[in-house]
Amino acid sequence: MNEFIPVIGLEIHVQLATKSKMFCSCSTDYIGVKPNSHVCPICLGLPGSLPMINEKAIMYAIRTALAMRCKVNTRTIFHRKHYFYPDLPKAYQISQYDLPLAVDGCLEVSDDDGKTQRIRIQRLHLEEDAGKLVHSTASGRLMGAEYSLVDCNRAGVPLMEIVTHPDIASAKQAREFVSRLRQLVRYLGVSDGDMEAGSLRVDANISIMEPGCEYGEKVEVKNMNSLRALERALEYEYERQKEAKKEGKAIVSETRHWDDGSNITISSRSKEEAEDYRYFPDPDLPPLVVDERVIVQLCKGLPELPWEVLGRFMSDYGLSSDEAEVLTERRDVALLMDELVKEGASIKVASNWIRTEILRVLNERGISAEDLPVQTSEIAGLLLLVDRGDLSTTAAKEVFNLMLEKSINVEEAVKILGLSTGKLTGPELEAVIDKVLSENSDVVEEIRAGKDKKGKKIKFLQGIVMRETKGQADPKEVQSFIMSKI
Amino acid sequence: MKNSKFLKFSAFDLMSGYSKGEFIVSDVIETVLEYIEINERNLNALITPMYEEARSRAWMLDAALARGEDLGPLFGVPVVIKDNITTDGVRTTCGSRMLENWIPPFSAHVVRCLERAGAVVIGKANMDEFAMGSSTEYSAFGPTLNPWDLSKVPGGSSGGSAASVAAGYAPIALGSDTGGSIRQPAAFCGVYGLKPTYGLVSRYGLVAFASSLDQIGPFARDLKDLALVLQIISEPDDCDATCVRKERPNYLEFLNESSLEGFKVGYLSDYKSLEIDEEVKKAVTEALKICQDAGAEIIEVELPISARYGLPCYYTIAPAEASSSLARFDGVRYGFSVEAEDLQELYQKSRGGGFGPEVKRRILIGTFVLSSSGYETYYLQAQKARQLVVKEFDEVFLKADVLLLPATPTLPFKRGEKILDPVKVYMADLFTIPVNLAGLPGLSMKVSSSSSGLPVGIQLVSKKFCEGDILKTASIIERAVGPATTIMGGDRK
Amino acid sequence: MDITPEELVEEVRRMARLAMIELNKEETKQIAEQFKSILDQLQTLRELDTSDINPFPLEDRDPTPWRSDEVVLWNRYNEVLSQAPASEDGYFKVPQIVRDDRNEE
Repeated sequence: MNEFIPVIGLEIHVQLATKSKMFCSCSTDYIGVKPNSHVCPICLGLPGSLPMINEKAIMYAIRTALAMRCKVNTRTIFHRKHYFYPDLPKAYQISQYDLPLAVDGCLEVSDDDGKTQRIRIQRLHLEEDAGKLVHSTASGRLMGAEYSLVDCNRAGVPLMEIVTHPDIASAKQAREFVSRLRQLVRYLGVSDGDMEAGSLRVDANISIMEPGCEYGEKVEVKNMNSLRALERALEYEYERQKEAKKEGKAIVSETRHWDDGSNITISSRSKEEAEDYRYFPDPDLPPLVVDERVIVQLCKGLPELPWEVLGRFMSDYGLSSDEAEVLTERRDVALLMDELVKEGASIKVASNWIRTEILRVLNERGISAEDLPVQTSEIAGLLLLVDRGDLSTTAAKEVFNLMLEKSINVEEAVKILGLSTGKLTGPELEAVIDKVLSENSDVVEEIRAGKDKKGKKIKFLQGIVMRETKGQADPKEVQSFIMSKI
Repeated sequence: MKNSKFLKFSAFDLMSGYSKGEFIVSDVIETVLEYIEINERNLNALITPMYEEARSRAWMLDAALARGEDLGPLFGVPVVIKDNITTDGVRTTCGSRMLENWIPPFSAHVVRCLERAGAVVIGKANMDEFAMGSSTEYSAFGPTLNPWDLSKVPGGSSGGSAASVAAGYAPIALGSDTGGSIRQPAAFCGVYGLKPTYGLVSRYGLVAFASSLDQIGPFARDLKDLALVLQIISEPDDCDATCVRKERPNYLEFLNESSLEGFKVGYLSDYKSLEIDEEVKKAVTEALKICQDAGAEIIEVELPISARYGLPCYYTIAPAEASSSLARFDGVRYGFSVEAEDLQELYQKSRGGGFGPEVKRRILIGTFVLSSSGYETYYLQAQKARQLVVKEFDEVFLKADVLLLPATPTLPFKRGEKILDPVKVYMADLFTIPVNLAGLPGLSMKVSSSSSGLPVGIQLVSKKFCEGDILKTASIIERAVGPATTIMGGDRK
Repeated sequence: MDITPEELVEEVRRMARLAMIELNKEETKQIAEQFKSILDQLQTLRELDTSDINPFPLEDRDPTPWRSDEVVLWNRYNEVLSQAPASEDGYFKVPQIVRDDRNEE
């Protein structure tokens, strides 16, 4: 009783990473660009202009479709979708309607307990993005703005719309799905998938249902600009609908907006009339025909997909799923892992090094692994030293940082830092310890006087020695030397 | 008027004069501009005469001529461009208040082709607003009059282009034809007017009325000029996805044939209940006779679906596409705009005030047939009917090479006569519309004069991309009836 | 078409709202009258048996050509902006958006 299940379907708009727009040769750069400077008669909708399809956008969309095991329709058409809004220059959007580029695919997501769930993809189609509005209010919101400003730089950027079946059973799963899809488009190199920047936008349809009952009225939730916002908006909406049901209130089929500040969804004012987009085939664009051979080619050209890499890392490298997950999150990182192993680094050390050092550097610098200023073979060389115990992890980090900073190889960095790539032990170590003890004779005296019950002072001396030896000594050996000398 | 002979010259006459050094471009352009200035008071064929632009271009061309540079195939030839075809830096109004002050930042493909060939654009021609009309009375810039009889309409929507050529403003003009807008005014003004096969000429820069039907085409008084212009403007274009890439034949070569031996000319034996003017029927018969004498086999054909359903099919599809194409005129980025309190008001007042009554009517009809209440019943049914029209022509062209039909059911009608009854006006396109629906080429040409001295035309239609067959037939007829003539102000009744 | 004059006027009003065209009473009335005769004429298409006709055959049409993904800068945007009815700081300017048709936030 009272066990309500959320039924969620997603509509995801992905901006494709083409250089030029969907139907004209304007640049797709629109962030931080002078308003209305990346425009032309076509994307401004000037009278007399006509659209021409960008080949790359088609290829990118098909790649994505194939990766999700969709059926690609070889003959499709574009429709016009009409509505008036200042960011839509032609007052219609060129989109696809009843004959989308691809249909019937799926993407698998995994739960916390490792079970996978297949989310069916209903359709994937191509369309053009709208421009951007800037509202005159301080908050930048539409409400209360005296006027608004229109920038058409984004108008005409290629969009791929992906629609799922209502197969998603929780807010968390929705988040997981989007995260998987984002990973996929990044692997395929078809989009940067940046939700905050708006290159991946998610609308969700959510209804709740009692087992054995019909679907409830569905509510469309918009304006979620991060994975976190998506999850929280859907959680909120689930609770809201559940409460309403329990109180016997009807759920209104409507569009609601997620408000990230107040953490609630807000109903949009309902429209005076139902939308009537007056779709019809765009007479300016003959059928889009994709040769079967092109599809086969694209299929062959697909990279190893994230879930395939993950599986391989677990089976071939024997990594845990958590480790493999981190290493395969980004394709550049997964590729680096493979290369390091190929260059002779041990799996364990490479995995640890990537998950700590490399990812830190990549995130700090906001670069991809290919952009690291040192060669992969050099990184592998460094990891080899660590693996053989020739360099402590601490020293290796220092070496790595210097390598990055000066774009030099391992050997040079080790030299500059005055390190030897062997361990400090025996008489050499003893000499260092003697020096430290004589320099800290006061501490030594205190220890001898029995004033180090907690062993803190010994640790202090041990630390100095480790620092002096640049971490190249074995801490246990150091400790036993100090003990024997006091 | 001195040098008034220039006004009757064909493009080929002008070219020959230039190359022989008999006169220079400025001589011709000055004469033409002076003549236009006087005649525009009566005709109103041009919305924007381009006096300054034409003069400086003439000087530039003369300088090139003096330097002995290669003369383009249309060197120094004045041309008139319908005002729904964009001209970089020169306002392009579409005959509408909506675009009264709009200066496009680019030229249409066809304009660039003509200019590359050396032509001098001398003016932008009057037209029914957004090409919706058959009389050029629906222009926001006043009606154009028929140069043969000022009490009559010149036809439309390319009435300004047709009247310009007939009156001697230029040997050549461009128009656009969505349902007969080239062929009907050509017939009313007694000149050649060709609507090419859909996809032969790039539409880039043609302000869309109905994209699946629109096509740019030439007007001329001389068939050779017409073929030459067709050759020039049909250059393939990468900016129009509906413009075919295949190689174009040499159209002038089709004009040299002297026989129609082995050629089949089809005609409608029975106009059923259609009201056709007797003089039009006579002209068709006369032209058929000429073809037969030239060796053609004359065969009867029937087009029952096109005759009965062409009109309603067209008047569903064309407004539907127009309602979409004209949605962009919203008062935000360009064009007529009204001060408004809010966005909705801006849209409604700008569109309500910028568009004339006929355009509004068609937008509303088009909106209706695409809306959820009209889509299945009207729009989809019309698209299916269009397929039947295509099929009907396909079958007819299994038997005939060329069809010889009336261009219009009537002679030029009186101004103001039909403006109040849209359905009656729509009938003027009865014979031209099916040709657009099927995407076929069609030419109208003058064959005779009526008892009242008005031109009477006929129409030739062929298979897709077989403009050559039309030109061949037309040249045989031209040889029998003579080329089209200029009607100068003084010669007018 | 079985539709009362009042319904016809209402339909014309609805279309005018969809098409964002302001009509005064007189225009609405006149267009409603013409709507009737025009729609009656369009209705004749219903006589045709089109049950097995594909309204949008794709098979026998030339495919749409593709453009390669190359950027071409168009530097005449100032000419467009200078003709805009209202602009500010390089943007097109529109008055306040009261009824939100796009369901923006």
